[in-house]
Amino acid sequence: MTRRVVITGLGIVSPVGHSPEQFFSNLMAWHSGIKHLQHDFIDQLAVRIGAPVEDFKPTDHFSKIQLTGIERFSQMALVAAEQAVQDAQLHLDESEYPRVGVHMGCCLGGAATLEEGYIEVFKRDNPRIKPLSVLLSMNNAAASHISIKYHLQGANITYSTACASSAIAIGEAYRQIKHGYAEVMLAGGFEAMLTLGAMKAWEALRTLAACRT
Amino acid sequence: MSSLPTIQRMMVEQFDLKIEDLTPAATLKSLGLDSLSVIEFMFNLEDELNIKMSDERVELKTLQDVTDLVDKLVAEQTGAAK
Repeated sequence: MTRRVVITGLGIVSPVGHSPEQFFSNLMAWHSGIKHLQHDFIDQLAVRIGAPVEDFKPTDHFSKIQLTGIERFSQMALVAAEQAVQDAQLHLDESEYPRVGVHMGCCLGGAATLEEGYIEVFKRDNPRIKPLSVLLSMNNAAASHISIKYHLQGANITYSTACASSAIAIGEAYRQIKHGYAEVMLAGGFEAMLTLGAMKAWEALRTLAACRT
Repeated sequence: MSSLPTIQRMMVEQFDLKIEDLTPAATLKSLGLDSLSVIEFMFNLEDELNIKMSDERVELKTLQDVTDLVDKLVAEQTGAAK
């Protein structure tokens, strides 16, 4: 038996907008989100344009205690998930938790935490790695935070398939519902890789568009 | 000297907690701290006080428990350094 699947709620935190409405209207107004980057490491890059998420203040959404264990990509994922849950007016009772899952896409995860750890290990004499480094940076951290927040006990999987990651996650979530494994899925993707190491790596691959001005 | 004032100050700075809530009897749970945030806090305390936690599991329920542990380590390790 296969079932019809519908999308009932949307959410987004991105360089183009911090809500679906803002995102769409900015796109329609030709705003790409791409601009000259202002990072403090910018002098070390040949390519100095990118699409940063601006005006996202973590403390608007999380307490400092919560932020101890939630990396930037997970913060944005949680805020986007909250928008989608509200948009869908999703109200679950306890008996429904096992039938609701999370499928997300992500390539690099907590790039900032990883780089901080590498600098500590390779450049300092007595390296001190933050104890929560693994929990902050692992690719499936955001999906885990989402399931913890909403008590979702269905399949929780993070796909890492390059630029197709989020699309795969949404497609596989569709199949979860279509084939009867779940009633509801939260699906999407997240990334926060505007870090020096990630930018240098992409630069080395010659895949970044240079600014001609 | 007790490490309580240092612990209180760092909890205010790191977690935005109110100093008046940070009584010795206050439980970490009542302050909203889970095991992970406590681990991160203890890591920062190590840096601040130049001490090293042991790998043994220690049950920390209240701020007084944290203070007692830290005071003991400061006494042992600053003594060992002399």
